[in-house]
Parts: sequence; C-alpha cells; structure tokens
Amino acid sequence: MDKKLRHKQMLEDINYCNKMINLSYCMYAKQYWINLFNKKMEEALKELEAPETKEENKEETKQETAREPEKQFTLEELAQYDGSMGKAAYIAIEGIVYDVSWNSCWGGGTHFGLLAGKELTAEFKKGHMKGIEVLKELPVVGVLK
Amino acid sequence: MKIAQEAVDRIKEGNGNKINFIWIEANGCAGDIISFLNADEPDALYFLKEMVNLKYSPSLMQAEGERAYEEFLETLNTDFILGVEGSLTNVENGFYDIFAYYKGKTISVAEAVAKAAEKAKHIIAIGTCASFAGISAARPNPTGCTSLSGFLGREVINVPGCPANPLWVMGTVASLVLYNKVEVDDKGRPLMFFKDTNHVNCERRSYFDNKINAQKLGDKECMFKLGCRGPVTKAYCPIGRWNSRINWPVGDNTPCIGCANEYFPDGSEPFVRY
Repeated sequence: MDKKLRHKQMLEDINYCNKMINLSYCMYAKQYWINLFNKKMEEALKELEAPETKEENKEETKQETAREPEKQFTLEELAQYDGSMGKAAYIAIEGIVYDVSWNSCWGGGTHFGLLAGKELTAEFKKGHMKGIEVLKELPVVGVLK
Repeated sequence: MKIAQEAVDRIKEGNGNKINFIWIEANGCAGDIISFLNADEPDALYFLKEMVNLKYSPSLMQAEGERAYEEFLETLNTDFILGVEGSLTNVENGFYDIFAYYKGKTISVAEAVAKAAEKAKHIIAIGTCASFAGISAARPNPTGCTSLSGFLGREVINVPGCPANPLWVMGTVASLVLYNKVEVDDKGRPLMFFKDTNHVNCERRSYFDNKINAQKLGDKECMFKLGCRGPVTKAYCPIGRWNSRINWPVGDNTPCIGCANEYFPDGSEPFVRY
C-alpha cells in the first residue's frame, strides 16, 4: 500500500511539473519547473528500476523474527544490558528479550523503579494488566535460554 | 458627553463583577501558592486586582484564626472558583491537615474541601499532589492521600506540576474567567498546556533522534539514557519555561524528572541513572 501511494504521489508530482512548465511565463520559473520535472523523472525511473522485492523483503524480515537466527541470552548475559553507562537496555518477558534502550518509558534504562537487564514477567503482569499490546511495539533481540 | 462617558465607565467598573476565588492548601508543601507568586505577565498583582477576588488563601489573606474561617464560610454563598493544592486524605478523620479551629471544633481540610466543592462554580486541582496524588502519596503512602478528583469522586480540572508552573495556573483561571470553560484532555489537564510532551519541543531533540547520548550530567547531548522523563511527561516546559520564561531543567543541563506526570514520583524514579 505504501508503495502504491508513493507511486501515485510521484505521478501526480510529475504531472504537476509538466503543467507548470506550460503555464510559466517567466523563463526562470519555466527553467525551474523543467529542472524539477527532470529530477522527478529520474527518481521515478530509479524507483522502477530498483527491484521492488528488495524493500518488501526488508519489511518482512523486520516483522518475522523467525527468519533471523535468534540470539540466546542467559540471565548473566542479560544483566550486562541494564542501560547503565550508556549500554543498551534489554528486558525479558515470558522468555523473549526486548530492546527498550530507546523506548520513551524507559529513560535511563529504568521504568517505575525497575531496572533493565532483568527478567520482568511478574512485574509486567502486575503493571500492565491489560496485556501484551505494549509489547508488540518493542524490537525483539532474542530469547532467554 | 463627558458625564455620559464617566457614567458608562462607572457602570462598566461596577459590572466588572470579578468572580471570587478560594485557594485551599491541603496535604502538600504549599509550594504551588509560592510558585504562583512568581507569575510574570500577568503577575500575581494583576491576578488579584483584575482577574478575581481572592477571598480565601491561608498564605496570602490578612485575616487569621476564626475570622479567616468565617470569611471562608461567607464566600461559600457566592459564585466562586475553588483551587486546591496538595492531596486529600480522610484518614484518622483528616487529622493530618487541620483547616481551622472554630468555636471549639476542629475542622479538617477534607471537610472544608468537600463543603466548598459542593458549591464551587469550577474546581481546579493545582499541582501534582492535588491532580494525581503526587509526592504526598508516594510509596508506601502512610497518610492514605489521594488526588482531589479521587477524593471528591468527580472530575476536576487538573493542573499538575511540582510545583504547578504559575503560567499554567494563570492561563487556566484566565480561560475560566473569560470563557467559563477550559478544554481538557482525558485526564482533566488543560489542552493549551498539556497537549505535547516535553520531548516534542526539547532543544536536544535532534541528539535523541540521532541517538547521541550525554555520558554524564553536564554534557550537552541528549540525557535520555541518564534518566530523562521528557518523553513521557506532558507539560509546557520547553515553551513557556520557568521563572519568567527564562529556562527549564533540560535547558539548564539537568534531566526532566517528570514532575507533571500522573505517577510522579514513584513512576519517575530514579531521576538520574548512571
């Protein structure tokens, strides 16, 4: 869908530039629109040449974590990633390790007094009684061994 | 013509019925009224002279003792806006906060607030303690403090902040005086000040977006990994700032502690993480 919208927008832009070339009286403005038209055409050609599957594949691999080999963490390894001294912040919930380093709620690798680098299933269930909606947005980095 | 104009002016002045204002200090530190005195453009004097008739304020009123309580009672029979700072508790019959000793009786703040809230035209919870229970209700909450809306069982206008920025309080009261209403979000906070988080307009935002961190307090880069609560705190700090619009915490090289947050301070701890 994203791709379709993008292509549609590009086509609209090119048509608009074409229209403005014909409507411009000032030669400088005309030249501006000609340049812009050329630029848009180049972009469109690049878009058509680039294999579409590449971008779609990228999105797919982000969503399907099963494709990539999963990194396994022991509890000791997980404890290294507690967000202190600029390190990344990982937490484990129900066996899956999530990266919360740049999640808005986890400033400094802390959340409501909890520290990252731990297994937090119980606390999660207590604090987020509504469930796993929140977890869907978190990037996954592996599983707990 | 002159006389007619004078008459019109007089009538206008006479008709400038300023609404009354009761400011109650409940279980808190009374920091919000002190912060309010720092208001600038308009300042507290303008508030007192032009905007409202401040009929009751433990910090600012001249009367004391039983006379002060009587003034409070008299104002209850008029049109007034109620502003409460500090959280509310009824534990041990409200022993933790006494409002007045009147004719041998001890009147707790809880009782006074309940009385005033019945008759108030508008109710504003000033500060995080009144809006969301705040520091007074920090774990383990031995006094059983709750927010004003929790105590009254009804929705009020919440102006959080520890203390509430005078600009926010002044703006809310002004909106009530002018338009008789103020647009609020789902937690009762005026949208004009609490629409965006501090993160949205932070001057260090491009550091955050490019993941460039401050290594220690005092560095100029993004302090998110040091524990900044800007991304989860809705307030007006980066724009309206503090102390006559001079600065705000991040601008002054210290991370935001999220003092206007619903879960401050338990939800904001630790404030700094190394």
